[in-house]
Amino acid sequence: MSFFKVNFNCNGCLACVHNCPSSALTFKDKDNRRTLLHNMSLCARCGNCWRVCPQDAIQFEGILDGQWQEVTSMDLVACKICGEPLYTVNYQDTLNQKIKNGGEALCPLHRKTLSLEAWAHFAGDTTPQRRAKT
Amino acid sequence: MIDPTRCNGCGECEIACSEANPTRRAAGLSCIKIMKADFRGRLHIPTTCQQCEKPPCGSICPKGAIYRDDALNRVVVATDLCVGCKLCVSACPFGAMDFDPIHGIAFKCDLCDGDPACVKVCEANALEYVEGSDLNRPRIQDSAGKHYAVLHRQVGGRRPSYTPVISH
Repeated sequence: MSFFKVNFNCNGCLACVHNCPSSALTFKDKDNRRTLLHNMSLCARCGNCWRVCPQDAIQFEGILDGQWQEVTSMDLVACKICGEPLYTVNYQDTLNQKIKNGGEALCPLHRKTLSLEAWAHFAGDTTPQRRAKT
Repeated sequence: MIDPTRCNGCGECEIACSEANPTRRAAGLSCIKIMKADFRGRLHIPTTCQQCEKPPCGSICPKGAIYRDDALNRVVVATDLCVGCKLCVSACPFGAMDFDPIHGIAFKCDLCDGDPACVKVCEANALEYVEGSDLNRPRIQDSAGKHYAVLHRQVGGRRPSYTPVISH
């Protein structure tokens, strides 16, 4: 049994992974699934993950056990244009709940290019390129 | 104020922005980015935070780390409160919010405390820093609304419930 548990509130935002001081948390994005992993032998039991979790999803349970263990996994949403994995399905739900019309699933780069399309419209170009060069 | 018709895409503003802040310099990131496109000649659009009056990034932040600083008419990220969940990055309609993977926190344009480095280095005068009170607000609001309507017709989405107000 794993010491580190997450409940259904988890939306895979990875705040715990970024804030873990002992690198006991990691994630894997594979085949449109994001998996959260915890390593009990690295965990310092500081409780920082529990403190930072925006969703109050982290719970502690059971006794310590072995190496990298899968905590949870969820489906990923990819950027509509470049296909880069953006966030999880649960994360999208959180977005849509908090702001009306949470927007399209676009990575920050392609979201910036939206202004290009508006300019293309003003220039009379009816088929703007959805392409970014930086 | 950004005038894309004057921008020549030299990228000095990106470098200056990155240099202006020690944490951003370490990560090699900038708050202002130049978008380039190839229609009817070359077009360069510098994009940065619009300092919305009702920022969607602020309303979505689960830790209340993004707030509006009315003294300088800007939206600020409290770095000590930010946990790096990237909700603001996905919420920003302009894609102006960015994530610093080294420090694990979000960052955005803070107008360099009222003296933007990007404006100082822009040789083409495409960038300008204007105090909010000097602007003809209703006209800007009207123009921004039209721009946004066009934008959303283009991408086939609905018009969002908030109207962006350019306050600098």
